[in-house]
Amino acid sequence: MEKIIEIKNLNVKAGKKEILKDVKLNIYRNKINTIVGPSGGGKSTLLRCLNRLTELEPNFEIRGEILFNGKELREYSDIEVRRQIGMVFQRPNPFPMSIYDNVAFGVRLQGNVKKEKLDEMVRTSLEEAGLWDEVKDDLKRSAFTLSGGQQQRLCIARALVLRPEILMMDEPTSSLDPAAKAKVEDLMLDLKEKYTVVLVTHDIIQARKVSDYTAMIFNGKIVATGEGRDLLEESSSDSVKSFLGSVMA
Amino acid sequence: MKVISNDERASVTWKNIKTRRGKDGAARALGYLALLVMFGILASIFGYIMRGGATHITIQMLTTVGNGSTGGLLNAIVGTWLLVGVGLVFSLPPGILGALYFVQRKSMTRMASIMRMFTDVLTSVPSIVIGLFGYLVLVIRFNMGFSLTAGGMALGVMMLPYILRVSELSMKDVSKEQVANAYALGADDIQVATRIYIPQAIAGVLSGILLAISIAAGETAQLLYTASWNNSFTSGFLHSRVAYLTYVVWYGIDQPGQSAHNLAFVAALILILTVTALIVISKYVNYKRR
Amino acid sequence: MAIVPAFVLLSIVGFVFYYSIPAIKFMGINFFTTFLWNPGIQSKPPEVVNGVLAPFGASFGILLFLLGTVVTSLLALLIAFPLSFLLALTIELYTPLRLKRGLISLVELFAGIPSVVYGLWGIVVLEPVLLNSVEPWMSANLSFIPGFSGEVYTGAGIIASGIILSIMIAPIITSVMVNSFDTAPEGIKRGIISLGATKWELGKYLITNYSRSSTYGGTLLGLGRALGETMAVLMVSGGLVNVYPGSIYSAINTMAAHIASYLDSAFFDSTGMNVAALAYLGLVLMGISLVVNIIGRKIAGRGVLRGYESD
Repeated sequence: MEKIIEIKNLNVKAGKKEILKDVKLNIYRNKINTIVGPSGGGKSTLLRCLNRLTELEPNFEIRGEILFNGKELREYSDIEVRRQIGMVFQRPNPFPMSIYDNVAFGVRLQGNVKKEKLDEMVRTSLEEAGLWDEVKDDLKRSAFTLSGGQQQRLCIARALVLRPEILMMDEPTSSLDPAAKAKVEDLMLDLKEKYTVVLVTHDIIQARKVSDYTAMIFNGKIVATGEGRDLLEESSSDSVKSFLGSVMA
Repeated sequence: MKVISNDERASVTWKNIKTRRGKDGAARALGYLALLVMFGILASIFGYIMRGGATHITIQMLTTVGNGSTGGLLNAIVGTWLLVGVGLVFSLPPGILGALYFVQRKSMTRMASIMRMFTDVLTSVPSIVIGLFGYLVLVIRFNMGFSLTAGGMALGVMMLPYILRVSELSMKDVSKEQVANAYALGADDIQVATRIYIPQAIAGVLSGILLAISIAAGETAQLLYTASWNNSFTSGFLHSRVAYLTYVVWYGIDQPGQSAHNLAFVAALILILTVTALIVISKYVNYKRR
Repeated sequence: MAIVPAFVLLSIVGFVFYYSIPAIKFMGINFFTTFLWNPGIQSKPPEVVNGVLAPFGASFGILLFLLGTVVTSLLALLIAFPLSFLLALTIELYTPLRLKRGLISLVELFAGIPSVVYGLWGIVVLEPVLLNSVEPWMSANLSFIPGFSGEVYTGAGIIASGIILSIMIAPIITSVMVNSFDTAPEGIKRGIISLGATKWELGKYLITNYSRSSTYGGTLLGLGRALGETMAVLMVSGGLVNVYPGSIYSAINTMAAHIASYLDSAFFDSTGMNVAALAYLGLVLMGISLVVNIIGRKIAGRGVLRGYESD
């Protein structure tokens, strides 16, 4: 069990409002690390601290330590952090361009890559995201012609093309229909072979299905952590039960 | 699936982060420079006009009439407001009623979208062309002569599309449900307009009118050959020529002699203070709405 | 009542056209291909040319004014476009949210300053600077560029007009760009940043892709304003007539400014041909302005993203 990220005493304030309080959490390599909790509990903020997207918020005050591969996150360049920690958002956000250009975007932005190499990288990423067979004949098509589930997998491919170490997913299935959702869940299980996955969700059933390690967050505090599925069983401790009650309600 | 090795990660040549950061920093620096240049110019305009105006403004200037290069500005100050007033008389009714028409049920028809396009296009007719039209049609053909009416109408042509579109925008924010409810209760178009659209959109409409006034007060080209100029007050009121502040700025600075220049500066000072005040009030009114 | 603007617009077009008919008959296409503007001699009896009565020896060509309008407007765009892009980028990306509103209001204030005030500033501040420092330096150091060599005159002219116009249209272009950056979906902006883009790279993407059409549209709207601007140019252009500008330091004249400066002399022509020629000039100016503005509006208003719900 190798730790890839260690979060120690992370506190985040937005103005006077405390969003995260004394968060301690480890993220393990090549596992699905799940953060569950009700909406507004600070899950997304925690995720955004990890790729420093919080820096876009002018009034956020962030204290504490986040170690990425043993080195303080702030000592990396934000460009490097975002290259090594990819992110997929709640709502699919394809760019207004072709499928190919969407996937190639990150590499064109960050790298100097020849056409053949780029083709290969786009193909690999689309394969990893389980989308290649559906789109291979029509890569020039606008990304908006894809279904919601396909769009979300396209966004996954777009993040994977940078060959990140970690893939963060912020409630990636909440806007998808059940079939598309199941596909993305299966995909996560495949992806952990190559990547570390950090999943944020309020969906306990999803967490039970895929999670290796689970942290529960409530009102900005981590209330329980543990080996994924066990923690989420009904037989757990009272505090967890009452928490589950509040989440499921 | 095979695990991505560090070798594979390294096989892409990434662009130099320092170079990219450098470009970002350069863009930021240039951006701040652009802000500095722009607001430096704004400060320079306000500064010069404040200084040139404030050091020469006298009570006498504000209380006597003049001819644009000597005397006072009273006729020009009064004339500016008279022209704006007449402009409002001609632009306000069609502006507000037109906005109501667009925003009520007919707004989706093809006819309405064509009318809306015409309204937008009217804003892009150069002001000197409106002035020329005013001269040819109002002054000559309709025998108005150089007059307050002709000048005011020429200003109205410019204010109308502005008032109409801004009013329409603020009426669009009115809750559709309320409107539907009112119709369901048997209200007719006029009742919906007077009881729902106008009261709820009044702040937005008002701020649009104030902006239109601020633009009209600063216009010149429409007025040169419609209102012409008057060395005194308008004697025949609607039928006689009328003075206005922008004329003094243009004419005064072109005349030899310090006193004419002083007059131009004072006129410019009054103009920018008026315009700024109108813009600020309009923003405030619009802000209160939210 | 909604029909009033359309009625007014059509009357303007119709009447200006109607009054320019004698000049159209008189000059025909030569109006566009000659550059001499000769009011004719009133003391001699008028003559009939092409079936219309015109003052003796009169001839009207607008080539100089067309050239002046195009040159000053393009110069204005050349300055205003990069300036506006930098302003919009800075306001949108490099400014804390709290300052942003204030900056946008200041930009709007710019757009509200009357054109005679810009003209006044041009005369008392800009012209002396151009005359004493900028233009002599350009003449001495940039004379290898065609049109940049030659004598410096008064400071009024092409450069002064271009700069004043650029200051007047930059707020228009800037606010269209800011608006378009603002309405770009959060998802796109966040997505690009989370792929490791710098703010500059995000701005570059927005302007070349997402906001491309608003950028073109806004620029055209600015151009439309520059083409039709009268008073500020009238005050700082130097009012050149019947002579080609020898260099970039020369005085100049534009279509709009010429109408404003010449109409009172045109009254004295008993045949009415001088007024008709100005109406013809006004018709041409209006035609160009309307075309530029309509295209600008069409492009600026075109939805870039179909099927993209905003957050």
